Amino acid sequence: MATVEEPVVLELDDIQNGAIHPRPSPYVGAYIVLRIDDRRAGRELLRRLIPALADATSPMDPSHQAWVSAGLSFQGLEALGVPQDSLDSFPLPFQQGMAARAAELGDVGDSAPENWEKPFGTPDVHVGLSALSPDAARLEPVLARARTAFEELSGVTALWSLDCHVLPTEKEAFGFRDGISHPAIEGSGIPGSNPQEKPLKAGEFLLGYENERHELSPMPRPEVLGKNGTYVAFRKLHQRVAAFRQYLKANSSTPQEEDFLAAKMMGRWQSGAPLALCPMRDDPELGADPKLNNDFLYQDDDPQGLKTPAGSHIRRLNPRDSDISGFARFHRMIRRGTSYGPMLAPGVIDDDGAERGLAFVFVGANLERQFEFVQSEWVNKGQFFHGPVGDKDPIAGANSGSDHFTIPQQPIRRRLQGLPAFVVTRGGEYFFVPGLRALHWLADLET
Amino acid sequence: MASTQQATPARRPRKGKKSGPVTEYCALWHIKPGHAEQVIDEIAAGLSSRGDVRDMYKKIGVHDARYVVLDNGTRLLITISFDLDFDPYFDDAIASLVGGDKSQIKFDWMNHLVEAPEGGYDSMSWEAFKNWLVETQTEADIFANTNDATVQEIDKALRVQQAFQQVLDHPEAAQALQHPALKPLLEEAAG
Repeated sequence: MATVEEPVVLELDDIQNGAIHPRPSPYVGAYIVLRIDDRRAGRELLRRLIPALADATSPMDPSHQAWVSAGLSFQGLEALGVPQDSLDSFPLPFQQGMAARAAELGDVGDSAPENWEKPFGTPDVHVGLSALSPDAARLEPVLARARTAFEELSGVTALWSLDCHVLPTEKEAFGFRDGISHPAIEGSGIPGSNPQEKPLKAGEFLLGYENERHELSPMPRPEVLGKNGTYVAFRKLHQRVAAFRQYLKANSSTPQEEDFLAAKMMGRWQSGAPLALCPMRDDPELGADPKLNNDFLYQDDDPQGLKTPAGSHIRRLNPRDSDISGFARFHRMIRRGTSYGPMLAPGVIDDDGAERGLAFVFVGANLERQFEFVQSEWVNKGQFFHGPVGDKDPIAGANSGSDHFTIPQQPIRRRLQGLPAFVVTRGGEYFFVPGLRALHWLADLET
Repeated sequence: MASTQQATPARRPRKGKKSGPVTEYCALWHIKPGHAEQVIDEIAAGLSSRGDVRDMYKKIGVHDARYVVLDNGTRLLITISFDLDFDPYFDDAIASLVGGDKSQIKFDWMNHLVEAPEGGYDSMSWEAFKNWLVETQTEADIFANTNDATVQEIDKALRVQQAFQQVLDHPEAAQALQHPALKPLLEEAAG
């Protein structure tokens, strides 16, 4: 007898809005890192912060487009005095922190933790705050409420902050429209950007709900702490824009060819138009249309990657229905990128020394199966799509200067040689983003 | 209904020797008295339910798999050579065959083993299933492979070889292969 699945009901009033809400576009934002020097002060911080945090009810309501989210690192939970048996119930990657996982993530060489901006890679990163808004006018009041919570609070120290803003081109630093792809999550009320993708189980993104394996993702104890929480991987990624432009120029004979090469590496034209839908020339109108620019699959139309190379950035990060080793729906994630630093003026190919790049945020219920898997297996290897073993993402991979990128085409494929790393990790950390009841539980600890 | 069983959170050191991109899995289990025939029948039924076994193995990167009942029907030996790492790919590979639905895997033959998990196969989460396979694994002392190729690379090499032989069958192949760009192919054309 066929069974009818009951619709999942999410406790949206307990889930932080930042856990599942897509990034607004355009946007302004800020990230702040705090250290808890005294556990009582840390709990007072949470009591003050909770009223400033938005929940996930009415996600498409215009009044919910600006929000602040709060996350805690493993050291942060320790600093708050969370009981040991509860600390022990968190998954190992979270307990160890991002720096300890550097080798698996490809954070080596210039991206190695010893080269990270402090306090990243140290035990001092305890609380991470993020604020996002469509404009500065709506950002200021939500950010001010959060700042009030920690400013002048003895025992809590602000260590680091980063302001982000959409660039004048409304694209990221390499010149591509971003923020296009967002998965549909059952019960969230937020539509996915690809109408051809079946909504993902809520348990892929939120703890306490059934996931794509028809089970619960590992959840910390007690249940009040874990339920409705999720994990964030935050990374500050420096983008070597001049090096990227130089590489395109060195491997092209015309500006049009540079655009084509860049599109092959990304899987989209700079306008955001996907190669899957317009393989030969850009279509800015399509690129700007959120109803169309993510409406595609790969396997039936382009199994060989003649349009969208299997090794291109977007096909690696989300292979959709491609023939890969593995099961793509086990590795979907929410990704949010926000730009920091000044734009490198169009046409300039010399490095001006400015610090610019992307504050990258992953959201998902399983750091190891989602973020770490994608980073180690899909970004920094090629076997999963039956490509060369050592083949890496041409945009975001840990390339060393001797790597290559294959562009399938007829009559013969083109292979780009000598790929350097265009992205350098400046720092990062794993955060647990608790539900609002969990934050109350943490604030009321009496250890 | 969602299982309430919690997965083991920590990544643990996995067993299994590697040779190039190929990993070995070997297990030697005990069969419950009188269950030998059922074990083999259910393994065979599970394999045949997936269609052509070669196609299935190619899809999930298995080089070879061996299922042997030993010692008068009291032991079951399984050895498998496969591409990529057991962790994190093993359950992914299986999930890709059944659309992520573990209940469709048909590994009920595990219930005929002395080492069968308490509650049986159906009661296990994905992670518990994977951990059981590792906990009952017998790692090879020595594992050697002839080359560093994956199943997909071997498949591609065979197709290229077939195409190359077709080229050599062409009456003007020798002349065409004189071009400097084709020198590596010409060096392979004599034999």
